[in-house]
Amino acid sequence: VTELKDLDLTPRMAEVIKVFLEDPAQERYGFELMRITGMPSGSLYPLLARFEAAGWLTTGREQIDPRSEGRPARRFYRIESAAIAAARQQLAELSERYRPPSPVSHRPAHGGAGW
Amino acid sequence: VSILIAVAAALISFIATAALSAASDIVKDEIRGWIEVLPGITLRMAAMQLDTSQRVSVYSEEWLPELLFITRQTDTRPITRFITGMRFSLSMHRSARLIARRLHRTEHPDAPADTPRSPDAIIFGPSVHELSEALNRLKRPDVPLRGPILLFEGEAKDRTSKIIWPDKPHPLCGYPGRMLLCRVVFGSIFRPIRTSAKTN
Repeated sequence: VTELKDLDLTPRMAEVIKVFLEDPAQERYGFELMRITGMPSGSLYPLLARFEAAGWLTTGREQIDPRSEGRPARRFYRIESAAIAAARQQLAELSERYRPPSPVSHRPAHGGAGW
Repeated sequence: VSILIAVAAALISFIATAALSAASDIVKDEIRGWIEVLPGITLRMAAMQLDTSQRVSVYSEEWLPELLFITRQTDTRPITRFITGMRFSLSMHRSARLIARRLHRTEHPDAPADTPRSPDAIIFGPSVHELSEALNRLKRPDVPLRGPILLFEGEAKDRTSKIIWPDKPHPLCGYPGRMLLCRVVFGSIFRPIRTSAKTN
């Protein structure tokens, strides 16, 4: 069992983990994640590495016949079941942190010194 | 005379058309080849920034398959695939060191436990002298060891045996399926293993 380490999600990390939370059983591939999040590989893969090192994501091999496909099997990522709750909580906290403050009503000053 | 000229013109135009068509096919094939070659070279240069122990698991099992997927299957338009592949490789080139620092994955998650991966050195058909030299070198404290050492018996017929060190990785590093007839050497302990031919 992989030990789950605490991670402080940054907005970019949140963007990635949110994709996994949409369907936790779904296997996600690097290029697919690049398309969904709009991140370049150089930004995405360090984040995936960080999630994997923290035990939030696990990896596996694509089930294909490399000969018929004409290419080797890719590596996929899937969110660890233990990480789902932690990810949801972190996303909620992040969302709260970035929630815009309620608008302050600027009432005109009454009864001030008149000219 | 005019008939002869017409026949000659028709013949020349036929030959020219055939030659153009052939040239066009050659150019297409050439361009199709470069679609994979340039991003591949760039990605390989990015992989040189990785730890030797990470190259199989990160480059050969993750980056390269993803790039080949991009350059072969993502789009019907070849130029788009080429541009996407180049962007993938160039971006990896910029952050390869960061990935190497963050990721300590050296083993294939699905592979059987006794399959050799991420070699620190590959020794091809060594003579006794070369093997003893290699093992002595491995004992030095300034040679970090993380993965197994692969000793290829399959190439023992080749008398010009080579010792390939991590700073000069052999292409076989990237293809565990070709690691037939080998022994794994951990320090000075020899452990014969069964290696299945896992073709890519």
